[in-house]
Amino acid sequence: MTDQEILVCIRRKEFERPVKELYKHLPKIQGVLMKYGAPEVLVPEIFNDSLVLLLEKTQDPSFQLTSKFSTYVTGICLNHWRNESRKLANRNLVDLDVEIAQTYAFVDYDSDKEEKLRLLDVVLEKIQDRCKTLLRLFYFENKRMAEIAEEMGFSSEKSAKTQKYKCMEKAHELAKKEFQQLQNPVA
Amino acid sequence: MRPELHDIERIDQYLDGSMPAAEKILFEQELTVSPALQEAVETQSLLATAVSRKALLAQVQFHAPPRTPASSGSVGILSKFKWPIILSGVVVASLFTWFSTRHKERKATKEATEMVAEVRNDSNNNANDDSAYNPVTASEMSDTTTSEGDNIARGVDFTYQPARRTVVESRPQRTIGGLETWVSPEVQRVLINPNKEELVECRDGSVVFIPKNTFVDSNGEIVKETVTLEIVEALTYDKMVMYNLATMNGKNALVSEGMIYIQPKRGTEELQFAPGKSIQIEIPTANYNSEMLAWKGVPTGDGNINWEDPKAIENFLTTVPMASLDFLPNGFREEVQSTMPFKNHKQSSKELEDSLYYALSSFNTSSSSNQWNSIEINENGEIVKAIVTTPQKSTVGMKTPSTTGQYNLSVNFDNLPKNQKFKVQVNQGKFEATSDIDNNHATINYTNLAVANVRVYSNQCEIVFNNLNLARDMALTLDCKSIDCDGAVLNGNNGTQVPEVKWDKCYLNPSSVRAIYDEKFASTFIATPEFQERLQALHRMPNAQTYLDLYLQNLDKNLHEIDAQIAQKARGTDRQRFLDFASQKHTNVRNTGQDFALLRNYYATQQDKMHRASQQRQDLYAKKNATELAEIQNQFNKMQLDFAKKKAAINDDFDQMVNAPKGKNPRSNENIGMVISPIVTGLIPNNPRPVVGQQQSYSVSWNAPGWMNIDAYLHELSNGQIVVPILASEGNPRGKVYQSINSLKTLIPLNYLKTGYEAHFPKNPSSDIYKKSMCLSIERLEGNRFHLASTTFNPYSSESVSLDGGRDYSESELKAVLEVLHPGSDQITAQLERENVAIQAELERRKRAEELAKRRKEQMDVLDEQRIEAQKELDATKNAIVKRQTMEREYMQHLENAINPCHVNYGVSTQTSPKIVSSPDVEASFPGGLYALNAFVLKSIQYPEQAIAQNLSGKIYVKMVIGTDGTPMNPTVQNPNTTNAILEQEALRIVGMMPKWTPAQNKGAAVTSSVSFPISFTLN
Repeated sequence: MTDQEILVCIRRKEFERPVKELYKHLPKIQGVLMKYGAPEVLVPEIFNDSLVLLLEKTQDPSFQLTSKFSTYVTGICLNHWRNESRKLANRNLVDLDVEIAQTYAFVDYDSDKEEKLRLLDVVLEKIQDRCKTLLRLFYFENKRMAEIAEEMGFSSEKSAKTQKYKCMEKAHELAKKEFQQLQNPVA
Repeated sequence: MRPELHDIERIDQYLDGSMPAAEKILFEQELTVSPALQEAVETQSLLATAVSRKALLAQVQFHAPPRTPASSGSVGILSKFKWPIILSGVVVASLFTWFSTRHKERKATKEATEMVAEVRNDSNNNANDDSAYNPVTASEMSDTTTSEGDNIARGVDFTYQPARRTVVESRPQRTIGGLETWVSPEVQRVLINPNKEELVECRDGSVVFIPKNTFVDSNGEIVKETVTLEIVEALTYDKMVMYNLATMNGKNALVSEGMIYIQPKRGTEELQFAPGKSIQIEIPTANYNSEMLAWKGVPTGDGNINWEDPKAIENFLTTVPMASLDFLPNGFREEVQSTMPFKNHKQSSKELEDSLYYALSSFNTSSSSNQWNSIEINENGEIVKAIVTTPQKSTVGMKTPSTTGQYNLSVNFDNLPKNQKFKVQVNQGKFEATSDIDNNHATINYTNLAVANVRVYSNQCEIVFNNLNLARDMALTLDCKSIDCDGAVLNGNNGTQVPEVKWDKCYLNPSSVRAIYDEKFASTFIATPEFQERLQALHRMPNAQTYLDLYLQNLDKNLHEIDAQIAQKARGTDRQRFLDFASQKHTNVRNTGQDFALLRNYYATQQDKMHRASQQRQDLYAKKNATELAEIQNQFNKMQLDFAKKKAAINDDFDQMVNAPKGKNPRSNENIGMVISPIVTGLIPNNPRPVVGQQQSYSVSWNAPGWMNIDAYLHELSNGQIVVPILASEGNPRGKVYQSINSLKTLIPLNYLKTGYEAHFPKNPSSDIYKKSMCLSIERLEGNRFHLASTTFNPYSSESVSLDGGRDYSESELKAVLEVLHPGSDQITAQLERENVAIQAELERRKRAEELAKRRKEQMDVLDEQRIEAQKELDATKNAIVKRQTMEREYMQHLENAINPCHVNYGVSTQTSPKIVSSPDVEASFPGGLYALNAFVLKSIQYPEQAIAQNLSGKIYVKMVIGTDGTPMNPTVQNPNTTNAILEQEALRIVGMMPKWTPAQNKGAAVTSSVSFPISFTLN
């Protein structure tokens, strides 16, 4: 598959072939990551997270491919690992920073945002299953509230909406706590 | 709604752009004044992103190819994990937090994945229904049709589209499709929806694919209602006899590979095929015979069938997922596996093997085919040395540190012609040499400089390079066009002695193998097991590259045409092999239109299943140790022996039973029950339905209801000259006498001629199969009982054969007897043979692998010792460094104590700073600039009372280091002066309170630098 084909597939939300294709680069990327101190066991996680970020970014119609996908994924992987390894007192951090600045400067990576999203992942784990489904249907599958109400068996569109807002409120609450911890790690 | 909820609603609207314009302006105004609202908007937007990410991750994980256990991370692996040695305890702790959150996540995503799968299953619920098809209303029907059509169009999950299975219903019935049978045929029935494509899996393994709108009623109207398919399979000899299925085309005898009867019905009304429509029938076979044709069964009116109108069978290929194919040369994976552990890999993986194999291609400087004999891989995974030969050109790649010395290259020839010119190329330099067998010597010259001596023997030439200064990469090409070189070995005699590693020779350039592992070939014949088989053969053939290109350039042609072309060009066993390939008459990939998606996917699923099953079996073998395997082998042999004995016993029994004189019953009926007990069930692999797609099959496009037969002519027999009289009374008209050949599925009805019957045989038989011939007579008696007699004879030594024996059976007894008569035992034997071959191959492979591993281990032991030595040295160095660091730290502590005897905490860490860049591109600066620095100082200054009392004032120059992260470190006072000690102390206090600076930059990177600035103390 060419990169252009991958891009088209992703935009059509057909992820299977792009994911399989990009997975072919995993061994190489694993090498790069391990060079900068990433333990082997973490590599698949980092790689998957990077694919997610890539899929997300490429969904944006304004996204333009300025490099090969494999390079782009490598860039994201390194950024992810840098974000993580700051907490781990990684000896290779400086080298890693240099590599990212020199080779992967084009990767638009907002490490603060990624850090927060990481915490929100924990938050989403803590909310109710029903809430998870509801939020997923609305924010990921972009279903209309009426459809969701029907699918999940709410009595009306309105009650589904209210339920969604309640879920969001709960998530807000939890997120606040997590973010506070981010600012005062001791607390 | 509560106000908080209202806020959330507004943010939602604001974020997805559904907020009315006027309200938006207000909201944005509110945003500018309310940090809380800002924060809420940000969080909510992030939460939405996080939700999508979670779903995306589930999809990514769902689609990700499976990983080997060694590389898929899990908590359990942490125990084996060596990192904690390198990292500090803190790191381990944080790793644990990572893992614990990760673990939870994984659980969640697994749930999500299962959910996805569930949804998929739901959407295909109708199709999932195994045997019974519930007629649905028109509206429901159209629903399912569209949703499934979508699925296929999108090319998504086909695995959830199972085939329908038939149900056998035995009803007392004497005729089927105009054919009068001896026993009631086993009619299989299945309900199908004619408004969509359907796939039917029959009991004995045939598969029928029915496109939509295929059937019409007697008025020619397309049938929309539920259709019942009646199917009778007669794939085995016993069924053929039971159903009176003679294999005749007029007077020509045929040999059959199986017959099938298909009749579509609406209620009891028999349906026809719509014009231009046809169904696809797949008949499984263990031994594909390309001479087979598809014949139509035409009832002759007297209860028999004549096979007419033969039609060629297209031997389609079916693509399978690329990932399930293995294009690497046989033995390569074992070779890699035996070198484990390698680098960071504890276990070998497909990726590693692939990447190592492809890595070989980097050495291939010429594009022509190369044959790799030997490689050596160093610790860094680079190929240090590769020894290569090709039939026409030899390229030897070598990666060594720059060394000077003698290098020998010897090339073996088959009969080197005298005065043969050949060219040698070392990197860019080209040399020419002439073989001179008489003088046994030739010199390679380059600009009047003898760089090498060539010794030429009648079948070998040896090239010695004198003091050749090898550059980092050396490529040596030996061009000896018309010479058949079959081995070139480059030995560096001042390099390290390299233990030679060999696996089966492979002529294909790895990079071209990599190139065909491409999705773009996924729908061509490249992605078929048949091509894999050919590629494996190519790996061992000279000129493989050309042949591979031949395939690649003719993707639209029939596979057998290309096979034939290669067979013409190849020599020896290769030629024979490709002739065999060509004789399989494989055409090309089945019509790739959407019509066939269902069938294609079915094949893919079956292949996948088989792939996984064989993988499992291999894993199983791998787990057992050698003794266990031997045990299995013994048991297997024993079973096989038992089986053979039992089979012989049955044959004896059968002969006795069948040929016993009339009226005498040598055995009771129970014995028949014993005989038919299927002794082989334990041996047949657990695949109750033999399945098309896991073995070869005949594929026919068919457009008429009724009987169809996969047959080939047996001209030899029809034109037979030798006549053997069969002595039998004419008996009653409801009886019949057949002639057949034991090992062929052929059944020839004989006609009564005055005194008896006559069987014909060829005068000069092409094989021995006719020596085991058989004749049998079946006769229907009153009360649904039958008389059966049979004799096995050799027509070339028998004057005549008598069919006077035999005995009476009931219908079920007859079935049982016929089942063992010529049982599907040839299939079972074939299965056993296949198993046996697999076991032998596995044993062989294990033996090889063990030998390799043993050799490897010896090498590893040596290397290990060296490594331990090196490790010791390294440890010593490391200890020295640690010791020095400790001393430095203590010293710094000591210095700090000296500078700051009161242990005042300045809040500034005193560290040994990394090298300070004296003149960076961008100086470090106080956030906000000099102005802000001044403001900060003024704000923080607390004029010491003592200083006021002493009326002290002046400028204190402070110097300090700014780290790469902007932390101020090591503040000192320049030119300290005891009179100003109080002011100096205050200055240091202020500096100690400073926030982080913007670090200095050099070439775009943050660097450590030092800054100095004055702090003024003035009294009004």
